Amino acid sequence: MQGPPVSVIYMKVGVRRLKLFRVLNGEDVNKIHELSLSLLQNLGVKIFSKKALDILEGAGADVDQHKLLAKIPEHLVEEAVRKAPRSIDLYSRNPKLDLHLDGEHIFNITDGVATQVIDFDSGRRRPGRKDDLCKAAQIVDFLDYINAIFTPVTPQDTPLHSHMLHEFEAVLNNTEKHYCAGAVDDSREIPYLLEMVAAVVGGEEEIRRRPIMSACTCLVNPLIIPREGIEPHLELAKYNVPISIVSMPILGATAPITVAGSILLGNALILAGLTILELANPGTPVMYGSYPLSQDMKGGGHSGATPEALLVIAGHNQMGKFYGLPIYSGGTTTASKLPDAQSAYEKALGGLFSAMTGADIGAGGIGILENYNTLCFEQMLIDYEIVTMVMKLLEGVEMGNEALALDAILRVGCEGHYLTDRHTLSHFREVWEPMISDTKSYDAWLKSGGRSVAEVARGRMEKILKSHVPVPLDKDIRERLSEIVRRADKELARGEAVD
Amino acid sequence: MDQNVPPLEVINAFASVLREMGDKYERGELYIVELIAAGEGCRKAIMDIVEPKLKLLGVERKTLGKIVLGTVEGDIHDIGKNIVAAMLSTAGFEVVDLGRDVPIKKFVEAVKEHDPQLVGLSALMTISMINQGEVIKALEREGLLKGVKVVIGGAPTSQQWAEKIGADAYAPDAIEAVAVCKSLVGRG
Repeated sequence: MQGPPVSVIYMKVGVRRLKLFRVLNGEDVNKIHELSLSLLQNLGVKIFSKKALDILEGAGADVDQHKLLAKIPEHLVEEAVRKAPRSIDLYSRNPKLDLHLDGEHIFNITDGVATQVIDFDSGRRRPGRKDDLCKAAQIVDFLDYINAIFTPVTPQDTPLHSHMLHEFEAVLNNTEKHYCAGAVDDSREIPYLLEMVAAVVGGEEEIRRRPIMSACTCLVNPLIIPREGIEPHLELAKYNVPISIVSMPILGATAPITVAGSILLGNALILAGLTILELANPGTPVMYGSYPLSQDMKGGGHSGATPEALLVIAGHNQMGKFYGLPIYSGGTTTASKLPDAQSAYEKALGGLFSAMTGADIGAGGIGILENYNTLCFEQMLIDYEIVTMVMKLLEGVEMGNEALALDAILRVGCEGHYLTDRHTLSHFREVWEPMISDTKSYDAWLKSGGRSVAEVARGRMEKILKSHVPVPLDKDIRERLSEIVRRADKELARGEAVD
Repeated sequence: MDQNVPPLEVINAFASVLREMGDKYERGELYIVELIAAGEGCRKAIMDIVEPKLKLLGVERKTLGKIVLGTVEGDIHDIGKNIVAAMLSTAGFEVVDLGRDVPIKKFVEAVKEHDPQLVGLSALMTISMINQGEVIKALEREGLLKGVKVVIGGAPTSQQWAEKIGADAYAPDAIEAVAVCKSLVGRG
């Protein structure tokens, strides 16, 4: 392995030394691949976008413009996969915080897009606000192992016709880290969004060189590409903005109840989205993303943290690796409504499993509860604890002479202790360190307040919010961003309906 | 010492540095191994260099008090006791460490010989913690508990256990042990 990327010096980045844990064998992977191609060619994809249908038709796909159905020949898909870059860069406001997705490092990003927030003061669940997003970005800016921010919450107190721009403004003003726009659903906002990127990176020409954002598209199962899931992204792709193509099959509802069937269906859908993007702009950096959910067959709800959903993520991670694409996957997810035991065990299992099976970016959907619907600040730190543990686990076991510590073992002998041995003193800072987990004796714990981990997280969070000051943007850039957003508020309001 | 700084001043300087480190540890700014390593370093310097000089000058060093400490008979788990010894010594106590698997008789003899203010009894196992009580009984039989206070600790022990066997105090961990011992000698 070569030396660490520059970014390691400025933030903490997971290093993947453990081999990938696989849930499919080579034959399984080939079968899913071939069946996916066959589904796209013979069943086809329903696409609610004339623009996307035209692109496919122009490339030779069998398109029924009336039924909005495109049957995509296998060779088009395979060529598209070849055009997609193997490793990609996600740029940041501060170039020192750029992410290089090379398969050897693991990055963590927030999840969303929630509409609700558990109010930090009252503890009550309420619609999210722009200041919640500002806070979340400030926290991401503080946490070393969280390398990027995905829109954790869509504010309900800003105009919906310009929400993307308000979100970007809130993020840019509160963190220097990479931004992945979560709810990119309106092409009309894209020119303003690009204008904002240009204001930060120094002009429109610079956007292509350093797009400081990426965008997520959440395609719809079974085999549907909505207009808002492709047209804004086609615009962004022209500027080299990386796109994470995400499939969210609901096992038993929008996808087969079986794990293999959901892997197959989701894989086919992601390939369809990728094909359109690569046909339109060859070389578009894309990421392969999986966020499955399970339909609860008894209660009617759903959860992304079931064993089956996690196996679908694992299968998708493996398929994405088969295509050589950077993997952007969920996993640190929960259906719980509170920062409680359920949220902790679901997120710990899911985060670890997703990272073990190949997520290059993901694993750290910190702070989100209720299946991506609610942001909880205390939960952000509980999940951060999980993230840092997972990152340490993936580093595996180092086996050099210094790590084997034979000298120290001989020095200490059969008696004595290692506490103050020079080997301990030179390496103890390398071990995982808890931020909020309790290790005290019972009495010491009781004396320090006898608090649950959620209460400890709350106290720590208060301190971070009070003390962490992100590096601000230059005043003229801040003003320019604010001017763009205000202009969009006004100009886009005229045609309030998106369609 | 080579520059003729009075030995007691050297000791005071060590104490003030260690106190500062202790405060930093409490605030989460230092790691326990750093605190203990610093304590051990200072203790070694005092024992090897400063004490001989003091003796030469006929000056007596003031400590917070003397503690006879050991892991009781039947138990060889001594890492906790070692940490407590290091922390107490760092805090300014004179520590007489009897080691591990210490026979009851040896505690009695050590109290007679060293005349400490405190006796510390450590045990990790439910089967060996019984001997904490036996040491206290033996000290009582010999009339040695007058002027001596007993503090106990170890994973299976508790405040209730301390009360049951007639110990004066229970310390749940090494950090607390320092506070408990200070308060037992009226320096808390």
